[in-house]
Amino acid sequence: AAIGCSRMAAILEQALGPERAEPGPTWPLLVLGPVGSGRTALLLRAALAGGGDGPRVLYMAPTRLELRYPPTLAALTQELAAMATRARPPGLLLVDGLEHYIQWRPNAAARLAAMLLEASRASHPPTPLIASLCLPPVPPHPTGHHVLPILRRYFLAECHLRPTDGTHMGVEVCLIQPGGASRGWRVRFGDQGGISVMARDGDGDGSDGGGGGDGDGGGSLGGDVMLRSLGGW
Amino acid sequence: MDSTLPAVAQELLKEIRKAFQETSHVPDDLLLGLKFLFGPSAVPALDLVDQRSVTRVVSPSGRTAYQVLGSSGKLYTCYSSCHFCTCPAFGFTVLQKSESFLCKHILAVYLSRALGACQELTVSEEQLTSILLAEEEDEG
Repeated sequence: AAIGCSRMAAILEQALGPERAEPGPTWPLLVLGPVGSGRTALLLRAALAGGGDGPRVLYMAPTRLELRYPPTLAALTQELAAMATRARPPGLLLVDGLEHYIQWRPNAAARLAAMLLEASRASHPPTPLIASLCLPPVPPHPTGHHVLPILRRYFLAECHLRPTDGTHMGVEVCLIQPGGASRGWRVRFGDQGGISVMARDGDGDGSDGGGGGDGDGGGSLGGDVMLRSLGGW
Repeated sequence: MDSTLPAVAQELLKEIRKAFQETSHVPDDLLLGLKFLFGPSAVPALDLVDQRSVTRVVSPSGRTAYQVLGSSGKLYTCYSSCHFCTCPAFGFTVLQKSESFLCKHILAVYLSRALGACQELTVSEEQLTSILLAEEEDEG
């Protein structure tokens, strides 16, 4: 009941911003657009409006996205077990907020990482796996610094996000993979709901449009520099 | 799980498998190699293999895990696609201290596979899930 359908238009306005100072009457809303016009992206943006404190969203769709909200580590492992036994495994496995499940316990981190790898490798070819972890721990945690070295045993590639200062919300993204050059992007979340992606530190192919690019340009920032700048994390 | 081993260890296991298939025997130089690479885990792991302590557990969907009956009589779970064991040594020596990259149970799994010494057990999906969820043993 967090989102009554009469609030839908207001939610979308909040997602696209800026919000109306004086919200008028709001109505059930139908989003219309041709193939590729971004209907799904817009709905997802509405879902995420308000950030972590936003309303809990029930997302229903016939295809593509399947959302699960396991509240505990035990519930998450049950989901992973169910995934491994499906006739048709997902094409991509995303796990957001590992910290919630591991509670900064080193052994729980290893167990969960191993379980995610098992689930990802249960299908052939393996299901690609991306997980996110909040670093540094908020609030600071005494065993927090043990967790990342343990997760690195299992997750061989890393993507570091570092917010940049400025009027717009910007993030520097650095992707570090074993045996490959690291790549960097600068992502900016505009206040009109847009997202712009730029290759960072020059790019290899020179075709980056600067702002509207899709992130295919190659960055050259060294992963070590990025890691050091994250203060030892 | 093989990809998580250093190349030299993978090579050694391959040689052990080959030698054992041809002669039903593992030559001393390969055993010395095991001792050199895996230090104090090597001999206890070989003991576990001798006692056929490693069971490969498979569910109908093909998911696999290993159960190793430790020398203390406790049953530990090892994952099949990456290094994880529920024994205290794995949590302490491997994860926290980084003094070793595996425990004797995981090494016993590798050796039992190379020597064809795994016991086989088929279980339901639910049983396999509960095996994978087996609690870790606390240190001490």
